[in-house]
This record gives sequence, structure tokens and C-alpha cells, in this order.
Amino acid sequence: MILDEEVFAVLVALTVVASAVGIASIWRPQGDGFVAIGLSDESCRIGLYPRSAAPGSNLTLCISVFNYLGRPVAYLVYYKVALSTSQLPTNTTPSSVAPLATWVGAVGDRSNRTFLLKVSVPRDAVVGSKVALVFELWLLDPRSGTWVYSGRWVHTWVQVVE
Amino acid sequence: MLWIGYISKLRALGLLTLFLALIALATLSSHPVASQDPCSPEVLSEVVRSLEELSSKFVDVGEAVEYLDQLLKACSRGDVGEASSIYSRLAEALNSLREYSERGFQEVIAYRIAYTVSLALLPPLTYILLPRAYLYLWYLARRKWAVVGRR
Repeated sequence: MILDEEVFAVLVALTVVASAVGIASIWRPQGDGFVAIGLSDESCRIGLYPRSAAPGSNLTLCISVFNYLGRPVAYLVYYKVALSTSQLPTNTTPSSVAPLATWVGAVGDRSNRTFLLKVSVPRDAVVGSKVALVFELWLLDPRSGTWVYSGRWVHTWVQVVE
Repeated sequence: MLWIGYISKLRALGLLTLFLALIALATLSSHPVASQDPCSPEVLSEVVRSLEELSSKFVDVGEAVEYLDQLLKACSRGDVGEASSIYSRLAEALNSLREYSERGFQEVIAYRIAYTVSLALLPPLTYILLPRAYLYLWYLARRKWAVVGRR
């Protein structure tokens, strides 16, 4: 045979693999997906977070909400101030402290929303202590009609100064 | 005679009440948006459910998601008038997307099936056609060759 048999076998094998991968990719079932929340500075860049703040002062931060759940979602971001690590949220439970502010919105699948927000450090924060500015991501559960904690949060520690 | 007059008046009043009730019912049913609080959890949940359903049928719900985003922000500000206006537009967008969804879903499934069949045919076509095509090109490239007998 003029066409080398081994070369021909490799070419056919490549087409079989390409075909299988192509078919699998188009019929691939949707995975569990995920949502995420990100915190960045007032230029919406990572890294330059405020280190210190006076009680009652305002800080400008940037929040990004990412949705890869395979469906559009309505989200709610709670702003809370934790005075210690025990008041921080976990993957399953939100922080026990009361929210100081909220932001709502909706985001489509495979999209994200980035927005600037102004948050204030509580006036009764003790000077010299460290507080965590916590942002929790909650999602609207359309079956129950309630906001459900997504298990995702971000926080940054700030030294309270005069 | 007095009884008959009284009864006929009651009957006329009853008919008038029934007529007014029917008009009110028809008005309410033709304007479902106006009768609902657009910021209530039930309405918002219903919108999100609709968006999920349409999204699962491969419908582009980007515009409707933008409306929902604006609606949530208006509700958050407590601006019920603006929320009602946005909800009306959102309801219209959802209705038009629902009309499109069935046809769009069938189109996507047809595209996927055609894509799958063409990909599935690729290996056997390669197996059958590649040697023939190669031979054809091989002979085409050498068609001006002269065959000379070996001495």
C-alpha cells in the first residue's frame, strides 16, 4: 500500500478521539457549578486593601460576584463587621452579627457583576482593635422565596485608629 | 303590585352589581402586573424561576436578567413606582422569550443532533475516503510520468 499502514492507523485513531471528545463536549451534562464573591480596592484591583480606618469613616471597596451555576441568579451581599475571628462566617453558616448594609442584583450564567460600594466602620469600634469587614453572598431560592446563604464570603481586617 | 315592583328593582340592582363585578374582574385579569407587588418575594421568585426555565431551554435571557437586576435595585431603594415600570417590561420580555423558547429549544436540539451525526461519521469517512483520496492525489501528481521497462 502506498499510504503507510501505521500512519493511516494513527490518522484514523486521531479522528476517533477527536470525534469522541467533540460529541462528549456537546452533550456534557451541566455540573454543580459555583458562585463566588471577590473583594478588591477602590480601583477594583487586588492588593491595596485599606489597612486602617477611623471609627465612622467611610471606605470605598469593590465587590465582584461571579455566577457559574448554569442558571441566572438573584444575589444579595450583606456587609457585616466582625470584631473577632469567632464572628467570621464559615462555609456553611453566615456571621452571627447583624448586617449593616445590603446590595442586591441579578447576574446571568457565566457572568459577573463588579460594583463599587462605600462602607462605614462602626462609630463604636474600639480604637486600637482590629475589625473584619465581612461581605457575605446570599442567593434567592426561587422555590422557597427566601434568601439563602451561599457559603461564600470575603473579608478584610482593618486596624481601627483615631 | 308593590311586591312585584320591589322585586324587579332588586333584580335590576343585582344585574347591575354582577355587571360591575364582571368588568372589575376582566380589568384585573387583563392587568396582572398592576395587581401584584413587584418587590414581593413571590413575584421575584416567580421571575427567577421563569429565567431558570428559559435558560435551561438555551434561551438567551441576558436582557431579562438586566431587567431583574434593575428591578431588585429599585426594590432595594424602595422605589415601588420604578419597580412596577421595570416589572412590566420584564414581564413583556419574559412572555416574548417564552414564545420563542420552544422553537429555539428544538433548533438547538436539531443543531446538536446534526453536529453529533457529523462527528460520528468522521472516523468511518476517514477510514473509507482517506486512502482513496490519497491514492487519487498520488496518481494525479504522477500522471505525466512515463513508465519505462526495467532493463
